[in-house]
Amino acid sequence: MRGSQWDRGGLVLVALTALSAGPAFAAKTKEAHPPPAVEAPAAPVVPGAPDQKTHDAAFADYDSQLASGQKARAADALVTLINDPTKAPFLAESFAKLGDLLKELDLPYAATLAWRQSFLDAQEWDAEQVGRRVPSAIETADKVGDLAVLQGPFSKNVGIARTEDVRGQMGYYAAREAYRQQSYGLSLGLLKMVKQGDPLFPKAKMLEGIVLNAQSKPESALTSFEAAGKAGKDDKGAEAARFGEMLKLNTGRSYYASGNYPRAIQAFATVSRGSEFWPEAQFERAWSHFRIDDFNGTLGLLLSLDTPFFKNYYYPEADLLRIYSMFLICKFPEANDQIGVFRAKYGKLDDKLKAWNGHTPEENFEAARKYREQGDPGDLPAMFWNPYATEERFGDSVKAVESANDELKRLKDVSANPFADWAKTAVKARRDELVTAEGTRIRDRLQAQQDELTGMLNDSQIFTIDIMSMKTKLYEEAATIGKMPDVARTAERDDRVKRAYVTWPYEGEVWADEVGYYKVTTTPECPASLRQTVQGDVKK
Amino acid sequence: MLLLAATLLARHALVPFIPRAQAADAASTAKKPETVDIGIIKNSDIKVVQRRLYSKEHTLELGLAIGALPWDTFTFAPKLQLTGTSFLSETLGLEAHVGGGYGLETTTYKYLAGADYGVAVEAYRYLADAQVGVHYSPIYAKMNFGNKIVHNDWYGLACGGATLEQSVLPAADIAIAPTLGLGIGTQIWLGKTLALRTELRDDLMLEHRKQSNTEGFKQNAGIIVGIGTFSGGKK
Repeated sequence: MRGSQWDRGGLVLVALTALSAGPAFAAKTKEAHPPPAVEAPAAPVVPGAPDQKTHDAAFADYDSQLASGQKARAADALVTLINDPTKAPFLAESFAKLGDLLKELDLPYAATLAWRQSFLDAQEWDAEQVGRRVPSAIETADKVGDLAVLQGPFSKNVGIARTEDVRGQMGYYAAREAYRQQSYGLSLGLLKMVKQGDPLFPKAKMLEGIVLNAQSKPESALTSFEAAGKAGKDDKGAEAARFGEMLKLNTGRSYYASGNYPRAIQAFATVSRGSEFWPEAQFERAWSHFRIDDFNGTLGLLLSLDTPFFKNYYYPEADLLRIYSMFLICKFPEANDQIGVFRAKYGKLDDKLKAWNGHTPEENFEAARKYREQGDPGDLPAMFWNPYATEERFGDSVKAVESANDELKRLKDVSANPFADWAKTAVKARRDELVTAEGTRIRDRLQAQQDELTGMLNDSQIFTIDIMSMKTKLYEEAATIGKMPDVARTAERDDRVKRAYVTWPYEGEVWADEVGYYKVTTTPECPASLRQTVQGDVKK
Repeated sequence: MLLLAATLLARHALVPFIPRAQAADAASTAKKPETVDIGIIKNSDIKVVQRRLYSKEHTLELGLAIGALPWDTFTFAPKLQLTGTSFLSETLGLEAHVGGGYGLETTTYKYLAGADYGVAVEAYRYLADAQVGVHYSPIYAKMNFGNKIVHNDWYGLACGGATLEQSVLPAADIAIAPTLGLGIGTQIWLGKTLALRTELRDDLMLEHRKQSNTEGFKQNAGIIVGIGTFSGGKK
């Protein structure tokens, strides 16, 4: 698998080398401005390229309609060209021009889709002028919320980029697509197209780190995250702040993956409390404490996620981690009780998830959209829809579907003609494709959650047996020595509260401002014979 | 041995993990057993440790307050007070304040001085005071108002200084009285550097009354409400 990734990466590098050397078939442009309404075709120096005369004849109707200011009719002429199989060499150029016209006709979604098709159909002889639409296409796609629609064409035809900035943009979006398809080597190669100084450079470095993490190269990922942080340090605004928080979380994950748990803890602790990534950082930080046998640290962190403020968050693994931590410090009665609570709580949720299975992708999309927009969870508890309330990708999809619906509504008022029919069909197809794709993703995730939860519930029964077994050992030892065995001595924590800090007792009452500041200092009750360590297990 | 262990387990299977001291107690006496927490996480094992949101250490608080001395029988004095408090720590500060006002005759005084009684009481009205002392705030607390959490502290005040008073009688004799001021109050933080201060204070004075040539003990009990701004300290 790794070989194939590198093969693909190698192909990209070859493509990049070709790009940097400059194409043989077209002159290099230095600007990436939107194209003029009427353009001269690229010089037909490439074998198979149509000659100028044929080109002019093909676009004659379009040119004359445009010259007389009839944009709709010019668009019709382009659709006629597109539908004519004998005019296939002009397909990309026709779509590119159609995109320009549709944008001018205030149909941005249809314009994006026309450009998308032009990027897919681009040939060597029209790559340059098609490539000039890339910035415009990205801007328009971003406005309608469907940048994803360009990722595929970019990754398939990255060669149409002619200038550094266009190359950078295409490379980034193509890399996202490649990552989505788990082509990690290709994704890394494409990301090399984004140069330092490009506005997308910080994001590209972040994505590079994520891809490297996915390739199990966390140490290299850290270098990428560091570069992303440096490149984006002067950026301001809410988006930059969100980026910074995400960077901290990913840095923590890399440290965790590389086994450097103290540094992972440090990184997770820097995620701001007000950030949407904070609960996840708490949870992953709890795992880091667990890995270094700091079970009190784990318990303290997980207590926050157990408060009513997080009732809409789905963290069954956090509950199991808490129970397992209790088990490892020999809090058997508490662990046993908590398993009962776990089974009661998640057994019901498991049933609800099972009942939800079978819903169509469209129903899943609609349910998640309803929760995001109205806070109505419907038949499933809110915790399952909660991730989609803030998820950027789902937000973009909802926005795209709304844009598509809005555009289809406006197209209803346009009298039937070839370009309007094409636009309606294209926009409707994309909308349905998006709804199905997102709905399928949500459905699959819910299905995976249900499978995982069923597994956890089954494992919890085995866990009860483990507890019983440990208790048996404890009492056997007690029976042998005639008393309960002494608790193994452990190092006492430094319990002093630092200056500028204040300590409040916990009486079972939860205050909003105290969430995240819990500290557990319970004494492990394991006799030396039953003492277990996670680090020890790892070493084994 | 295994049998014993099995017996133990069976017992704990029936009564899920009764703590050992409790079990022994239950077996030996009929009294209600004491609870001994074994194998559980108690609330006392949990603490909340937070960075103090509103720190006073090494700050200088400058305050402006309005108030009144409403509990004197013969005068009612509106008052304006300026305060400066240098906090040596979160709990201890050195405070200096100066106040000024004017004691107005109450209806009681006017009634006594009126035609029915014609008694001219040798009362003294408040004019000004200046004191320095110690500000001690051992209590730092939070209050929950719906969705908002308000931080505040409670303090005690012990000051010494002098109070300037004037006789209400036409002679308008002036008295400068050594004063011991004792008070309690609360500061509610409105922001990182701004707090609302409410204080109840009793100024105990020894006053020489010129007309009657007597030494009198007087209390100026008052209430003030004002704001304080904090500067310096750790950011």
